[in-house]
Amino acid sequence: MSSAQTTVHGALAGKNVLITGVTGFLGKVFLAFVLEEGLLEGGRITLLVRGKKGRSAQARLSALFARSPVFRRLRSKHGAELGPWLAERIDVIDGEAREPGLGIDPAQRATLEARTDVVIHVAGLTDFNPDPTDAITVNIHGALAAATLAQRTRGRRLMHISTCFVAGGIDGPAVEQVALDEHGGARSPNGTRFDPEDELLAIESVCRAQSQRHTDIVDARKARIEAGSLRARALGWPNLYTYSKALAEILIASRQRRERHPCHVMMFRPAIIECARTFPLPGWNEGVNTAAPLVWLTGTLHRHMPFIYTHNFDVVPVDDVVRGMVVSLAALVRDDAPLLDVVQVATGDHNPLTYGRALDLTALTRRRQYAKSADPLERVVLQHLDSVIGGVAANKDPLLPAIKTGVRTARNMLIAFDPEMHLPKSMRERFGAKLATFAKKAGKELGQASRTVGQVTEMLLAYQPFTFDHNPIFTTERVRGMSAALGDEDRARFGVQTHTIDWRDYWMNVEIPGLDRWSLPILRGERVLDDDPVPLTCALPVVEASEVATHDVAYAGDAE
Amino acid sequence: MLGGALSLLGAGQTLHPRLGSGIESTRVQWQAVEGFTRDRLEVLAEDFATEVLVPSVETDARRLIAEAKRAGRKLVLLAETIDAIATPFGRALGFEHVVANQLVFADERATGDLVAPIVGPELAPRRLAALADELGVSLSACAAYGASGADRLLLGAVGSPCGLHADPELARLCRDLEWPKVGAARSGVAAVLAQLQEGT
Repeated sequence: MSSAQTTVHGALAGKNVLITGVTGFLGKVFLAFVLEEGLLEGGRITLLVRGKKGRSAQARLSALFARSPVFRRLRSKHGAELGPWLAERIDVIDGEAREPGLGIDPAQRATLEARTDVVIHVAGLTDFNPDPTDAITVNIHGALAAATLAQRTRGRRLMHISTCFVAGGIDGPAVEQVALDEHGGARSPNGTRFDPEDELLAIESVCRAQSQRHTDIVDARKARIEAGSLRARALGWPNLYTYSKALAEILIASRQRRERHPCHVMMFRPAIIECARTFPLPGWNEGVNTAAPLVWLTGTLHRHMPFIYTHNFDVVPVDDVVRGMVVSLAALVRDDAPLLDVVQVATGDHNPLTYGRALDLTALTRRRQYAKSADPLERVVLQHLDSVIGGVAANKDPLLPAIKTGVRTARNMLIAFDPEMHLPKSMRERFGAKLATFAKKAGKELGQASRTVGQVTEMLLAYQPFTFDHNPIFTTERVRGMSAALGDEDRARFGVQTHTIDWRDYWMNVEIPGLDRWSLPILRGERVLDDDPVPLTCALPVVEASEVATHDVAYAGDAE
Repeated sequence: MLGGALSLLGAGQTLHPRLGSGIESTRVQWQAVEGFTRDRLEVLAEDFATEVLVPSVETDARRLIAEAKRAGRKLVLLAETIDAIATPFGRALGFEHVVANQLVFADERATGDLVAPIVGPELAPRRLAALADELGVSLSACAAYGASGADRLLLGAVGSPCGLHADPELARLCRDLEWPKVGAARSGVAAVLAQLQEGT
């Protein structure tokens, strides 16, 4: 990348930031981009990471820098000097979004508060239907703890990574606003008015009640998910993920209003983050995100897709999201930054990709691959199968339950097959052993098929709010306006360029190959290997403890 | 070949019979794709051009085209098929210009109609003349190769017409007008172009 200094560099130079969630997909790419672009030079980047599986935060981060493909270019550029180069810019703090006050040691907290200009809170759960206890702890209390910390820092700035899907089950424009009225009351996607603090207490109470009602851990979790999902849907959010992220936003904004000296808050909302166009490498993805299960589905024999063809599949490549974060961060550190800003990064309002088109492109990509496949099933059968967009919602489609029942019945019959009982003596002697072996093998395969049908059903139901029920169009004036206002050099390097995406090229040559390389193996239970490690030659520094310790207090506690 | 800064003009059928078959059949055959998405049509067309058509053009034909390019001639492919097929086909063979039909799309789906006027025996020479004008090339200094009687207007428009594997109608025309004619039967594109070079 060019080392020329730009106004974005100037705006961010010397700033000290704290970033949470850098071990995740988005956080890692953001960190690599900031480092490669030489942003935040002269300041310190503090990374809040939790120790895991007996490894300290420092050790986990060092391993990431040593092995992750995201940092491949940095390793290649700096070689053995990468460790010292990073140590000049980065330090580590052990913490955890699940813990009160992000689990930060009080003495280190005082150091952070004294020097930090911006808290960038990326950490969060992204499962559609997590245990609500986890969702509340991480997505709500974690976000509130990040806001509390930001409130007490030198710079009083918080960038909170949320999601466009906080808009919930709506059709049409989803605007860049927090759903809060002037009196601190909130409005849910279906128009229900509620008090956000009461809502938090209520959902926590529901979770506790379910936990007490069930002695079995699995049953208790299931009951919590069911109760939490019911509550989310009652308010118009399709799942616990969007509900918890929305409630976090509303609570942060609501408490901000009660602060005597409120910090500046930016809600940064990406839509569906998918494979990188170019940075850190074309097709880069990590874990199983939104598109991977849908793409996996088109590789199965199931071809009946309960989608509305024209509904937006609001995908944004991760590198465009990261550019949006950089542009937004430069706006957030300005003296005249608004107290509450909302930035959405999406494509549906200016360069839409629909579910129908994505499905078509996936089938065309697979067709090309299957035509050259050595597997006869792929070459002879799957190559010639196309997905059919169905007009019935997944929860009303009788096809999948019927298939599942049929497959199970056949499996049970095959497993119960006994030549002694089911064959006459003459046949038993000639074919009994062979038929028994065949029945056992076929029964096993049908068992696997039954599980696959179950997965497909579950997946289609989880996606139904987006693929069938609702079609929000996320407006993106803010980030496109900020990008357009940049100078030519800045815009080329940091401007969001979603309007230039050629979806056919992206989907067939970047997204699907990226998912094939980085995500679908995980769905098949395989491991995705990192690069060969190039260990750092020195340890990353840890945030120093201050002589004066400070403790976490409730956000807006000053005003209480 | 004809030397100097002349253009080598190839009618689609000359290179491959599936690149054109007459204006009415062209119109009718593309009605079958009504409702196809643009993605589907263009991807399948590209696959067809690059995986089916291009490999069946023989090595000698590629060599002759390459020689024409090296000699500074401009190559134009005129085809009655759709541009989604002709463009990748022409690109793969090194043609700089492609004149072909275009499908009409509404909401990114093919309507089954072709953009009027349909590129065929009557329009091709006019398109060619416009292109030659744009490129600053005189048609009288150009060569054109046609395969059927339907190409007579095209061939009559250039200075050096030539019949390749000419059908009976074009063969008669070539005889009457003393146009060179090569290739008695379609036995492969390489043979046609090789004979063409000798004949001119």
